[in-house]
Amino acid sequence: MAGGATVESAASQRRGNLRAYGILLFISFYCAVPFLWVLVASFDAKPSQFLRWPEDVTFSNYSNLFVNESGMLWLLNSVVVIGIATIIVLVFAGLGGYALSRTRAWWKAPLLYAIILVRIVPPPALIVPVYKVMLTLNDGVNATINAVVSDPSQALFLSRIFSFVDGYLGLILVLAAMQLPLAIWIMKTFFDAIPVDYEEAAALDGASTLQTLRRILLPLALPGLAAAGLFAFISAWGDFLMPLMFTSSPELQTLPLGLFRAFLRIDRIDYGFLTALAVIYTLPAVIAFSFARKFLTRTFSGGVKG
Amino acid sequence: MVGMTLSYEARKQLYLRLLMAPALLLMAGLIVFPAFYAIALSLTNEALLGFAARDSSFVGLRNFTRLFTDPLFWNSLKVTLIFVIGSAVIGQFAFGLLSALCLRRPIRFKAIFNSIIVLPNAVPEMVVGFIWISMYATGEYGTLNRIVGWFGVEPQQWLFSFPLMAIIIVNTWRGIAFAMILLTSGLESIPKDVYEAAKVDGATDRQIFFRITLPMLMPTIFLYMFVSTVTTFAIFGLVYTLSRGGPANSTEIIGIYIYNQSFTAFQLGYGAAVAVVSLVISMLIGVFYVRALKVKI
Amino acid sequence: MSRIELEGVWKSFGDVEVIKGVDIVVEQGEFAVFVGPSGCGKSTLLRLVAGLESISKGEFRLGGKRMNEVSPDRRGIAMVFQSYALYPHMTVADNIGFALSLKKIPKPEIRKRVEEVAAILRMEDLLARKPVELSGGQRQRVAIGRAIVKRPQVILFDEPLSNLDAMLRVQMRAEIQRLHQEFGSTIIYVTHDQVEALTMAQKIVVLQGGAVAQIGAPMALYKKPENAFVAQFIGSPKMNLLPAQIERAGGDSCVARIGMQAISIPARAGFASGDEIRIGIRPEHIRVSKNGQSDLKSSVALIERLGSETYLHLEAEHEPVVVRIEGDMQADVGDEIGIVFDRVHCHYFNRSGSSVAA
Repeated sequence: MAGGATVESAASQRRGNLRAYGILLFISFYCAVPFLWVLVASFDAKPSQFLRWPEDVTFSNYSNLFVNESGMLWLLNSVVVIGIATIIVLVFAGLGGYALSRTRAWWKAPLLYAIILVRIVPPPALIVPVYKVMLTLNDGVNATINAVVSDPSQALFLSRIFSFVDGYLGLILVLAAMQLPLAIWIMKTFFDAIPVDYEEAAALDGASTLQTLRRILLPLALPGLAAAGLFAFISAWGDFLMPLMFTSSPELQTLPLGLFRAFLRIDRIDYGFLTALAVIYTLPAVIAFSFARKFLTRTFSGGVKG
Repeated sequence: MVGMTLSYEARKQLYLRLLMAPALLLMAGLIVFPAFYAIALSLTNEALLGFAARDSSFVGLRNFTRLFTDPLFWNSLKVTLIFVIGSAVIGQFAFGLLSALCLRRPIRFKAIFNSIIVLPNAVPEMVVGFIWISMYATGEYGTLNRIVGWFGVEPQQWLFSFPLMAIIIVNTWRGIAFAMILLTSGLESIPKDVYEAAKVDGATDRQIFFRITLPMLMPTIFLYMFVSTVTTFAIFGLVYTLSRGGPANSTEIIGIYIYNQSFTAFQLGYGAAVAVVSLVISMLIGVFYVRALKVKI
Repeated sequence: MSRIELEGVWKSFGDVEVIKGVDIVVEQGEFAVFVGPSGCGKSTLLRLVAGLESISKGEFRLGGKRMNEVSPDRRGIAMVFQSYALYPHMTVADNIGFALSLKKIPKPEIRKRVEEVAAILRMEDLLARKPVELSGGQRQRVAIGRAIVKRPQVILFDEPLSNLDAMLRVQMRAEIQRLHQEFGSTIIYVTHDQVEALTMAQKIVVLQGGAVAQIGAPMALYKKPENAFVAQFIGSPKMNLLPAQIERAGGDSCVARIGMQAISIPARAGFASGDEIRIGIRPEHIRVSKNGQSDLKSSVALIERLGSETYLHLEAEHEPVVVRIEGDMQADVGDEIGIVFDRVHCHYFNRSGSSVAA
C-alpha cells in the first residue's frame, strides 16, 4: 500500500492487492448503493420510497415526462436558464481571462488576489444583500416596462423575462456571476500558457483586434473554454440556492426547485415521475463531468495556486 | 509627442481593460458589492415583514451583540465546524486517500471502480437529498436499515436519531471523488526514483508511506484541505433538501442558519450579521491560505 | 527606402529602464546583428522597431520617416519569432497566406504567392500540413515564409535558431544569408550567440545593459574591441583579461605588475604610474616558452585536448589564463610553464573598461 513503484515479494503483492480490492469494493458499495433506488424506482410501475425490485418494469415513467407539462417545463426552464448563464460565463470569462493574463496594469496582482477571495465567498452569505440589490433593480425594470408597454399581458410577459426577482434575467445573471471567478481563473491560467507571440505575429500580419480575437485567439482558447464552460455548467445546473431565492412563480421553476417542491407534497408524491425526472436531471451533469474530469486537477490546483 | 495616435502597446492595454470590464462588473455588482452591503445591512433592523420592513433604521452593533449571545448562532457555528471537519477534513480525505492509494496498485477493474467513486460528485444537490432520503428512510424497508440489518442492528430513524452524522455521511459520499482525483495527481507527481532510493535504503512499506509519500504529498493535501474546507463551509442545497437544518437545529449549518433567519424569520438585518461573520471566517481562511502557500500570480 | 535609424531611443517599463539612449543606423539592404547577453535589451530593441512596444523617448525612422506612432502592420516590417508563433490551428499554407487574406487579396492570388514562397524555401510538399506535424527546421522555414510573403522592406529575426540543433543551425544560417542576398531586404537579427553574429552579420551591434557597447563590422570588433566587455563577448574561447598595475610609465615602454611578476608593455599616452589596468590577450596569441624566457610563469590546471588543437587552462598569480596551441603538447596538470604574450595582439583596458589607444 505504500505506493506502487516498489519491488515486492509475490505473496505480499497479492496480499496488498486483496486488501486494495476489499477497500475499493467497500467504497464503491458506499458510492453506488444510493443510486440504486432512483434508478430502479424510475422503471417501476408502482414505485415507493423504498428500494425494491419492481414487479412490473415499465418505461412509462419516462414517457410520461413528455406528457406531464410541469416536468417538461422545468426541464426547458433549466436548459434555457443554465444554457444562457453558461454562455455568459464563457464570453465574459474568455474575454476577462485573456485580458487579465495580458494586462500590465499595476493593479493586476491585487485584482487577481481579490478574485481568489471573491471565489471563496460563500453564496449563502450573499443571499440577503443580493436579494435587496435584485429587488432594487427589479423596481427599475418593472417601472421601465410599465412605462414602455401599456398592454398588461405583454407587460407581464416582459417582466417574466427581464425581472431580477421572479424572472429569467435575474436568475441567469446571479448564476453566471457565481461561476465567473473560477471560470476567469481557468481562462487566465490557460492564456498564460499561450505565448503572446501569436497575437503579435497577427498584429504584424495586419490583423485587427477583432480579427485577432476571432481567427487566432478563439481557436487557441477552445480547450480552456471547454473546461471553464463544463465546470460552470455543472455547478450552475446543480445549484439549488439561487432558484430557491429568485423564483416563486411555478411557470419559472427550474428542475431543482420543481423537483423539491413536488417532493414536499407528502400526500401525493408521484415517485415514478420524480425518480425518472431526477435521472434525467442528473444525466447532463454526469456526462459533463465525465468530460470535465481530465481538467479537474489542473483547474483546481491552477485555479487556486495560480 | 508628434501626433496623438496611440502605439500598439498602449492601444492593446486600453482594450484589455475594456475586455475585462463585463466580467469584473458582474462580479462586482452581484458578489463584491453585496458582500459590503451585507455589512451595512447588519447594522440595521431591516426586516421583510412588520414595522421595520417599511422603515428600517440604524441600530449600530445591536445585531452583533444579539448574535453573540444567541445560543442558536453558537450552535450553528458548532454544527458547521463538526460538519466541515467530519466530512471534508476526515471523511472525504480518508476515503479519497484510500481510493487513490488502492487504485495505484496493479489491480483489475480500475476504470470501473474509478467511475463509481467519481459518480456522486456530479449529482445535483437536489438529487443528492432526494436519494439519501430514500437511503435513510425509516422502517425495516429503508435501504440503510436493511443493510445494517445484515449485521443484526435494529432499524433506526437515521435523520432523527443521528442527524448531523447523517449529513456528514452524505457529504463525505459526495466529496470522495474530488479528494481522490486531487490526491492521485499528487501521488503521481512524486518521482518514482525516490521510492526506489528508499527501497534500496531498506525502508519498509510502512516507513515509505509515512516518511516519503505523506511528506511529499503535503502540498497537495494542504491545497485539498483549503478547497474542500471553503466549499463545505459554503454548502446549502445539500443539507437544505435533506433536513432544512432540523430536527431542532441539529443540522443548521451556517448557510442554513442565514437562510432561516432571513427568509423564515424574516429578519434581514440579523441574517446579514450572521452573513458578515461567515464572510469574515471564509476570508480569513482564504488570506491564511494565500499567505501560507505563497500563492504566485 | 529602408534605412533604419534609431536616435536617442529610450524604453522603460514602469521605473525600469531597459533601453538607455541608443543610437543605431542600419543601411538599406544591410544585414545587422544585435548581439549581447540575456537581459541586454536586444529583444526589446527589436520589438520597438516592430512596433510591438512603444518608444519612451527618442525617434525611430524608417527610410527617413518617423515611425514611432505607426502601427506594426503599417511599417512594412515582418518578424520571425523565436517561438516561430505559427498559428497551430492553421495549415502551413494558411499560416503563410494569413497576412494576405487579411488584406482581402483574392484567393487565387494568395495561392500563387504562397506557392512562390514555398518554392523559394523548398517546402512545396508541406503546405497542407499543420505546424505540429513539422520538424523544428521545417517550422523555421514556415516562419520565414510567413515573413517574406509580405515582401517586406525589413525583416526582423528574434533568436530564430535557438530552438534548433547544431547541424540545422549551420544549415539555416546559410539559408537566411541566401535569402538576404536574393531579396536584398534590410535585416535585423537578434541573437545571444556571438558565433552567429560573426558569421552572418555585415554590421554587429553589441549591446550591454540597455546601451550600445560597440558597433562595427565583425572583424573590426574582433580585432579592435573598444572595451573589455566587447573584448570578452566576441570570440571563443574568451579573451584572457589579466588585472595589472602600471609600475613605471614613460619612455618607449613601461612595466606592469601582475601579482608578484613584472611584464613589460608598450607605453601608452593614457598610462600613469599606479594605474590599475587589465591586459587582454586572446588564447591564440599566447605562446608557451621553450627557452626559459617568459613573460609570465604559470602552472597547468587543466588540459583539453581536441586533437587539432589543445587548450591549456593555466593559473598565473591566481588568475586563470587560457592558451590555445596547434596540435598536441606534452604537459601534465601541475607543471610549471612559462608563457609569452604576442605584444601586437595585446589590448589594454583602463579601470572603467575602455580600451587605451596607442
